[in-house]
Amino acid sequence: MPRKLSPDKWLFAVTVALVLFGIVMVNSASALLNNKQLGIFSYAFLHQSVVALLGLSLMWIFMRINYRRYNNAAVVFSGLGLCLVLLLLVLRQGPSANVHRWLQWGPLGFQPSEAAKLTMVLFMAGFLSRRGQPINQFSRGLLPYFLVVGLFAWLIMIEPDLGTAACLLIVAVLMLFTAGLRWRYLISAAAAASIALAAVILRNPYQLQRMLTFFFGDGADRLGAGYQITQSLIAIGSGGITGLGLGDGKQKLFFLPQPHTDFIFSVIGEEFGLIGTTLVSFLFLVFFWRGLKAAVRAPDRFGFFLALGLTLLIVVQAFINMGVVLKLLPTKGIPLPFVSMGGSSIIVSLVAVGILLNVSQYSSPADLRSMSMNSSAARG
Amino acid sequence: MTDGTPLQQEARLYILVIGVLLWFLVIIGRLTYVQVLCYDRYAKLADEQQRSVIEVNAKRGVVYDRNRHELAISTEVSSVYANPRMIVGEEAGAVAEKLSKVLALSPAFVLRRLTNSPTKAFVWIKRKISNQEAAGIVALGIPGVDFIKEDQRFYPNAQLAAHVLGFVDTDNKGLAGLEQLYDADLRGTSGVMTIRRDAKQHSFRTEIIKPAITGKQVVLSISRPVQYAAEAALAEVMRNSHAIAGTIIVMDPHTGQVLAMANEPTYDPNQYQWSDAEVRRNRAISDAFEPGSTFKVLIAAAALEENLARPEETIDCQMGSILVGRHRFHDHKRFGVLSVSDIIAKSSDVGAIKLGLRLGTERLYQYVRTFGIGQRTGIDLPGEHFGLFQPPHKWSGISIGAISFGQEVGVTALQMLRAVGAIANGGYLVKPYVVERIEAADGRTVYQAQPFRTPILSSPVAEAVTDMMHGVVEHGTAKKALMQSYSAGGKTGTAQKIINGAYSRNKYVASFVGFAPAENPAMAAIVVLDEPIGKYHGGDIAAPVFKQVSERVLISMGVQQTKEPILTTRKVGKARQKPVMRADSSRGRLDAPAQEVEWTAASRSPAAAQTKERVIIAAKPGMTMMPDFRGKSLREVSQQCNRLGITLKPIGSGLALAQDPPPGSLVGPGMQCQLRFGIPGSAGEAGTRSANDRARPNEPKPFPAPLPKLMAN
Repeated sequence: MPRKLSPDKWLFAVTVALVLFGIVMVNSASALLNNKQLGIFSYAFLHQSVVALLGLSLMWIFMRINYRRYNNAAVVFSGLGLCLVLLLLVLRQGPSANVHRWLQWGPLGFQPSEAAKLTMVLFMAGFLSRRGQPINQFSRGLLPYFLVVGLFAWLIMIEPDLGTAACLLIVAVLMLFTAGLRWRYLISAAAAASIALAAVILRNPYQLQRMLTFFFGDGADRLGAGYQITQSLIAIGSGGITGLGLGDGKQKLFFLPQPHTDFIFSVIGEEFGLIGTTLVSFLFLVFFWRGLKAAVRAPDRFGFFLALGLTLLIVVQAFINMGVVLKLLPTKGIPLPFVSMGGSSIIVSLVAVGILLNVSQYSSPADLRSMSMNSSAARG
Repeated sequence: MTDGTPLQQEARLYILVIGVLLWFLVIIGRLTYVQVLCYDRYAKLADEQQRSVIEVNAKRGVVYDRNRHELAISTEVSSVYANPRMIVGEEAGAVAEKLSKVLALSPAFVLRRLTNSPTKAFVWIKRKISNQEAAGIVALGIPGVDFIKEDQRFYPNAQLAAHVLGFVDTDNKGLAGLEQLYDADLRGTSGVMTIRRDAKQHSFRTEIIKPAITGKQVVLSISRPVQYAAEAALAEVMRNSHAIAGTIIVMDPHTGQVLAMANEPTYDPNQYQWSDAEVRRNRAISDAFEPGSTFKVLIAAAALEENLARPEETIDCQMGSILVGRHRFHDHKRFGVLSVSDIIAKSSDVGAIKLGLRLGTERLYQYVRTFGIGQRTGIDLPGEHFGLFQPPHKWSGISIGAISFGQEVGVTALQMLRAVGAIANGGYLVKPYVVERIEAADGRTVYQAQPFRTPILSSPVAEAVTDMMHGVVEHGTAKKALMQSYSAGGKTGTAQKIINGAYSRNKYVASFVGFAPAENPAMAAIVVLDEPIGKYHGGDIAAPVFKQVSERVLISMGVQQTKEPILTTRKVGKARQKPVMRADSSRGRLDAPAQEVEWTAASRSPAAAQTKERVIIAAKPGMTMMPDFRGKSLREVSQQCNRLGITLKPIGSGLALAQDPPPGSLVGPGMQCQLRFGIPGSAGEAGTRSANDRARPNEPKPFPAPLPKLMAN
């Protein structure tokens, strides 16, 4: 059935480029922060290299697995169930830095919220591709999404990990939107989401403070709650057009709160300037374009929604992260996919890319219109 | 169909793509705005927070005495500062409370410091704190409160030579004395250092942009033991005479090197802020007084120089009364006919007036000016007074009489000493100075004082007046200046003070100015006492002080005794005989290189040291300075100990190698001295004679073996 079995080379290249760049940047950003140094390499560098190697291997493996295997209720629901159990388990874990995000198993940690994102996309792609799924009927169509996505988002939110929860919700809403959800549902969902968000914020004062700082802080209170974002802007701004050069950034020396994870884009801005930041943003745009292309060319609706969801998972997270460090969005702790130091986040992202690459293998030369024709033909 | 139609999906996909593209463009736009348009602002902010430029104060140069004893040094102390930006809101109150407790400040003061300028990253809390205070601050561990090492001036000898040295303020700026005059040399050049800082404001990486250059070292002509002797003697006479102020200056008359300059009342420059400005004034050069009779020697010298009189010539002193203009001057005694020598020896006012009248107004004026009266001496210390000496056109009809015996003229102690010095040294007016040499931090000499002298008297006249002044001490008004072992010359002065425009009947300035040995003076000194109570004659209270100081100075300089001790049977020759100076002490004069001077002799071979006189300077009544016994034999040591009343505890045999108490410490009768004897050059001795012995001969030396401490019996 597939015309040719070759994955999208652009997707592959962009992903590997970002991962490799991430290793370099993590080393630069954490070089002086970590006392554990091995020559010119930091402990974080080694960690990131091992994780990237593992992630790329998994990507390779998942690239070889036919994506249609996931279009299976048993797979999807056991995945959902597992994620649910893990999300509940993580809440019982002792908090680390006042949050319950990691499941610790010896020296290894794992974030169930990362797995939940992937599982949710699988679930939604499967459901949306079911013929005759009436998503615009609330009880029969929308309710399952509402329950699954809502439950996941809520569990992640109370970890609390508002950034990941928001990311998950946005991806779900965009998938539903593309599937043709009526505007009125979207608007009422937006209203409901706002109320839920307001409720969460009011229950967690630190979130409220972050919000207030974002909307009203002018950066004058440089050592208060607006400190992080001001420092991020100073880092990016002082990079100028060409940047200070790799390793020469100064803001990572205790000024930037999370220079090797959530604020790695600021370090890129400082060390590589506008050229570096534009290039990285552009790589994610390329990723979006190639991912969308894979979706549109997918031979079936499941492949379409799967590729779309996975692409959005990466791109939405990347563009939210950039919005945060550029003070376009409230401060949310989410990493830049592929680039930020992380374990679960990188592995899950690379698994997602593996699945996406598999979908891209089956691409037909059809364009958007033909995709629609194909699917309607298949339906008819 | 309730599901989205393919067409609808396609439209939705386009909307999604457009939405993502828009967000991408927003991000690129924002990046351009932040990184290009706002670059300058953010680069400046980054630089500001990452880097602090700090001025590095240079270490202030050391001030040494002529033998390299430290008179003013610099030590490092901690100063506490705070970063108000890091102490925000309610925190400040608690921090102020904690800091005020440790630093003994008022909490309100600290709080004001912390809150008055919240945008600043640096405010002083307290500067130059003690070690205990610093430890207390460290224990508190408040973020945003830290130390900077600062240079603290320290005067190890407390008030010794306070008026010469002066003092510095908190910023190490010299405010008085040579600290002020030589501030530019001592200060050095401050450097610039940048500190890259992290967000927690811990110093992170320092980078010296311009290194600080340590201040230059100043070596004085002041001799610490001479200064000490002068101050001790002055303090004693102040107590006994209840004078309100006093001055002693000791100078080498040949070069103008000031060996000691002592004033009372005095102060401790380490704590200058607790003393009055009045007390800190260097009276020796800043205060003018009517010299009185001491001035007569200048008149006599002028008359001799002009061949208007001869020493043995007799002059009728008119039974103590003379009319000048319409004023009748009365002498303190009804003298008949006196030789010029006796006019000086007995201090006849009438005789002096007659000499003055022989000179006449113009010549009198010129000669007095030539002696440097009414002019600054040019000493390298700030605040020197001109003195008061009016030109003849301002004189009244009686001025010529008054000036002849030291009225209507104001001199500083230093002016008077310099004028008499010109008689003592054979007729040369010198320029006094205290700074002998200035050296860069690396030891290179950048300035070397050159004695500057102007011939003003012919040498026979100077010698004749010297003889007259010798007579004053031998059989005149200054018999109390007569030393056992040295001849001396001088002149007493007892001037009535002018109170409310009239000469007071009970307030005097008593003075004595003189030199010793009389035949070839190695030193000249002046003693001035302001308003002594009880005995007020210069000959009664100032002359004994001169004797006390001179004796110690001359012994310490190793000047050959010009008179045999009283106990010896050999007759003392006529005082006219030139003294025999010891060959290796450079004729006993202080213009000799420092290491030639006696109290550094221990650094040389024991044999040479053996032949020298030892320093014996009384520190307090009954107390003496411990001599340097090293290199001496047991017999010599025990003789000296007997004289000082010290009990000797010898260990070993040979020559003295080590002693406890060390040379220079204060000892009194009844104390014990432990001495270790051995063969010089053996292992034990090697440890005690190192290169720095030369620089600090009087400092305690490491002992080859521990010895029990000095015990008072």
